Amino acid sequence: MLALLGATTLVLVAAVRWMLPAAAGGTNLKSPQNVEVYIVDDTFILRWNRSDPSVKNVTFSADYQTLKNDTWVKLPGCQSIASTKCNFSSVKLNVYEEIKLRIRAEEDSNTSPWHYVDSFTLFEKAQIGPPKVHLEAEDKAIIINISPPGTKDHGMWALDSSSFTYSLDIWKNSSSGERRTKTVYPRDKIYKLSPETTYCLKVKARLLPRKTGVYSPVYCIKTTVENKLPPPENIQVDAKNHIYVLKWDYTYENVTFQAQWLHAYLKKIPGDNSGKWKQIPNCENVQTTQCVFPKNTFRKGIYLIRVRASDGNTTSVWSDEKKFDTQLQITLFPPVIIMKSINDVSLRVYISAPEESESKPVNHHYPLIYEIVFWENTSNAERKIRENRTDFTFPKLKPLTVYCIKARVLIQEEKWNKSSVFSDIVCEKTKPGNTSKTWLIAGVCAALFSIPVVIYVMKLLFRCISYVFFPSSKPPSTIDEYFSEQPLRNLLLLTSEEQTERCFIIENTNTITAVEETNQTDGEHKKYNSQTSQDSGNYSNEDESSGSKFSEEFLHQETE
Amino acid sequence: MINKHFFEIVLVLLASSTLFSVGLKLALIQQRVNRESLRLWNKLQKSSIQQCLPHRTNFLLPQQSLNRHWDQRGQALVILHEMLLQIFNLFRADISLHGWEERHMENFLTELHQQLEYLEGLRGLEVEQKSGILSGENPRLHVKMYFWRIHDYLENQEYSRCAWTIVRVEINRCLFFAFQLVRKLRKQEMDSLKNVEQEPTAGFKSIG
Repeated sequence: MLALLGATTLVLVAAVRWMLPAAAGGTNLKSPQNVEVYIVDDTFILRWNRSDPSVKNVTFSADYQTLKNDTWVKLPGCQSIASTKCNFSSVKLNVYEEIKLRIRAEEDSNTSPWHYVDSFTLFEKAQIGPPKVHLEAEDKAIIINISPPGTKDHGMWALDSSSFTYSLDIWKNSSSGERRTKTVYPRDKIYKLSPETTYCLKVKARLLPRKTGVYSPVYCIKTTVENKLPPPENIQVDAKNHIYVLKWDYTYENVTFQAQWLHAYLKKIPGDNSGKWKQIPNCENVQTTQCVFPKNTFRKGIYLIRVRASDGNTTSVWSDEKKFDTQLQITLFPPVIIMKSINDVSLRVYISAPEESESKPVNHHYPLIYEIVFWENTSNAERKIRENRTDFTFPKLKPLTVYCIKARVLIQEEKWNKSSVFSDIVCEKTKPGNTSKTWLIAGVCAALFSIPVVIYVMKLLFRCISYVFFPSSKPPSTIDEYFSEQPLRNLLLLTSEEQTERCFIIENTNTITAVEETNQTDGEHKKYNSQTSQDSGNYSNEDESSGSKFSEEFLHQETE
Repeated sequence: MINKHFFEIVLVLLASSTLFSVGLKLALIQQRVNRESLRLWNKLQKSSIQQCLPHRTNFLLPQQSLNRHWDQRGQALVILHEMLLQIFNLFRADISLHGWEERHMENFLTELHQQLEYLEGLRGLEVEQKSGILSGENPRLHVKMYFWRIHDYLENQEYSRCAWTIVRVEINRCLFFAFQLVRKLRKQEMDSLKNVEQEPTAGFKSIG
């Protein structure tokens, strides 16, 4: 910072030196230095340093120029000033318009060169001054009434009187610690104070985007003696179908209550609005701690409600002012959740917005947030997240695990919180996930290996079935063995007629060889027969001895 | 042209699933503020407008310079906030001075106040405080300049009935500009929604 100042001074000095030869009349008067514009609210000050303190009878004069007019105009309040500052608050200028200033030293007919100030807007240079505060004490509250900074109605902050926000510091006079800081409206009330105690406070104003004012002087006030009748507490407004139910708490009996309302926007407007409170219908002289009024009493908007008690002789002070936004006077219902298991071991969650009691979709002005609690069924570790989307995914979970979820709706605003109860718990099992791939491969391999086995088993089964239900016309195996030669075997499989024909041929031509042949094989046959089947053995013998008999027997067997 | 219609259609499709999105909230602002301002408009008789025509003036709505600030979402919100604030400020001051029906004015102010409360709850305005906007680029200044001209005009016309009529018409024009801003914001909102839909799991990476 010092370096920067030094640098600017150097530049200034250099500039002044450079300008000197150009000065009219070749005088030795120097321009003023370190020229500064200092603005607080509606007070505009121009300050500078003399370049040559030794020269006497020097005065200073300043001009200004707006971007619209190219001509320099004399700055009112800053002509022929002997001191080193002047007040040009009387100039009538658009505070948002860029202006340029120039100033020079004058001595009789001699003048110094002009010193030029970079163009600026009064509004941007302006600092916010201290606001004025008016206090009124109750037994447990202080009513504050803040007048916006500035002195004129049409001055610097003419367009900002509703834009200011005020920051208030309050503390008990007796103790140095325990300061409370609050953001307050121009017309507001500080609650929860002790009776007969002196409180001190100071206030500063802020303006968007980045202007912060200076604190007001410290104001102190003593709260009054505690009233016999306390004000009602815990004021609540509940919406039912076509009515509002206004409720409050009160400890004493035999009192009557009165409730009033006010447009909340009036709090943004400085000045007295105490006369603008209006009576709530059906809420005058009520003896219960609640009253009911129709919904159409209030148009959509934000209102303030206050209640007081009276026992005939004395009346309590007004209760805390309850902010009441018709848009928010709904009971928030829990959301409905659907959770689906999707691929990659993830769970996809769909939340449907809750519905109002009259089954209308919620139509708030404020964004809904869902608070979601998510946990593994077997463990107690919960994840709590806030989400404003209604469709999202929990990725990368454990496969084949049951996860559970519940959610509730929140409306969160700077000055206002509301939430629903939690929804029903929904649980869902995740899919097998990546391990399924190996299972799939194993499955495919197993299937490939099992195919031949299956085919073999099928074959066996088919054989059994065909043996039981469709016995073959094939002769017993002993016969088969007998006709070991291929041509004969084939003959057997042909029709019986052909066989008989063939048999005849055998009989007629060479009986001896046939007999010999039977003898040769006889031994083997007998041996075989004893082992397996007696019947077939007999048949085969018969067959060999006489072909005609064979055919008879064969037919006989067939008919059986 | 195609794009314009496309966004309208997409909005309708998305409406059911984005009840809580900023875009829709702003759509509500548009509807309601507009409705109230039109009601006030109807209160003005045509004859009174004709008779006030000679008092017309150009308040130089700074569309051009504000359009430059539209790029950033925060800036559009800031402009909208300042406009609604200034309209509130303009009409709250002199309810009794002009003879408009008070109840309609109350409704209008109630509506504006509620919108302002909502806008002030949004994050965009906090961003404004933190980011170092250079003095010359403060869009609030442009809006204030414009309203300064309106206040100045009213003062010069000694708050006459005709002056108020002219200002009333001008504020309607300003509101239409504000609604353009709302549409712009809504578009931005939808674009960001689309991005979210492309990466549905993004929000959960931190807890995964």
